[in-house]
Amino acid sequence: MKRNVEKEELLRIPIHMKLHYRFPAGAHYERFFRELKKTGKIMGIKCPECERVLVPPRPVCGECFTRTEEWVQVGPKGTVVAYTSIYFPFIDGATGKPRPIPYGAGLIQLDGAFSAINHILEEGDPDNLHIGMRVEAVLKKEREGNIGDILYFKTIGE
Amino acid sequence: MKDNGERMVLAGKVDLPFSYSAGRTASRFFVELRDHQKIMGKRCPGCQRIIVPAQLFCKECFVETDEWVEVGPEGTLLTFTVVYRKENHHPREAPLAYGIIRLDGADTSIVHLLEETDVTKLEHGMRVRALFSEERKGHIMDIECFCPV
Repeated sequence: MKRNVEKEELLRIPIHMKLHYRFPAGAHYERFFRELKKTGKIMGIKCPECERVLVPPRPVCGECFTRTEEWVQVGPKGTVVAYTSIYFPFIDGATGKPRPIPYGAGLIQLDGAFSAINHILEEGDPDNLHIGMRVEAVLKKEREGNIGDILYFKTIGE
Repeated sequence: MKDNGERMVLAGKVDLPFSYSAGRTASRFFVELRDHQKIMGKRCPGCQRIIVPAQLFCKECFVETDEWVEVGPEGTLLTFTVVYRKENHHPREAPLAYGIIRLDGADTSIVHLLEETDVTKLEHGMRVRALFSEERKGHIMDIECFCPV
């Protein structure tokens, strides 16, 4: 069918998706967040069988199916095991606003931990990012007991 | 965070403002709603079904639809559900009712709000009619809800 493009009105449909939810942290995440809030310590938990330190802490080791028991402090320094630089201003789902670009995101293996956590890197320039670089957690002053208490990881010259 | 020594409950939020290009077919569908209070479908030249809301392609025949057809504004309620739980992603306060409505002349159905929220007064096959909003913006909510006829 022939289109009369000049007469057509093309629409953009705005949508504002706002989803609020609550989830029970469970005993392990609860202790992890309480410790982070109160003392600024990042805690992991050790599997008695394979001796891996899981961060964030989990009640059961995913490899051994054994109950984890021993709480250990990890970090706040760590090593970048993977990274990416972000140039597209994605909407941050937590705030509804884009984070200033460019910024880095990476998987950080905290000192003393087996598993790596996903977080924001202060350094966003890919020329200054490399696997194995040393970073340190920068914490909020007024902590609330959630993962946002770690603001980002800053580069340290080690 | 609730921190009164009891079990911790974390509050999460997903806050995503965005927009999408409706494309030429859905744009006309919304423009007709807004300017003429008409609900439009398109006929598939293959299977002859009238697809509502108007779609550019028939997904059964995979051919481009051609003829614009007005449907409704009355239709038949095929199924419904009443929501009692208050959650802020719903467009209205609970209790609210959603229905699947087959508009007269259409071969597909649409999901929309129902004015009647009393579950004892809703029934399969009941006749409903689109109530248009006074202030229309070119959006599916230009239909406020469907009211019992």
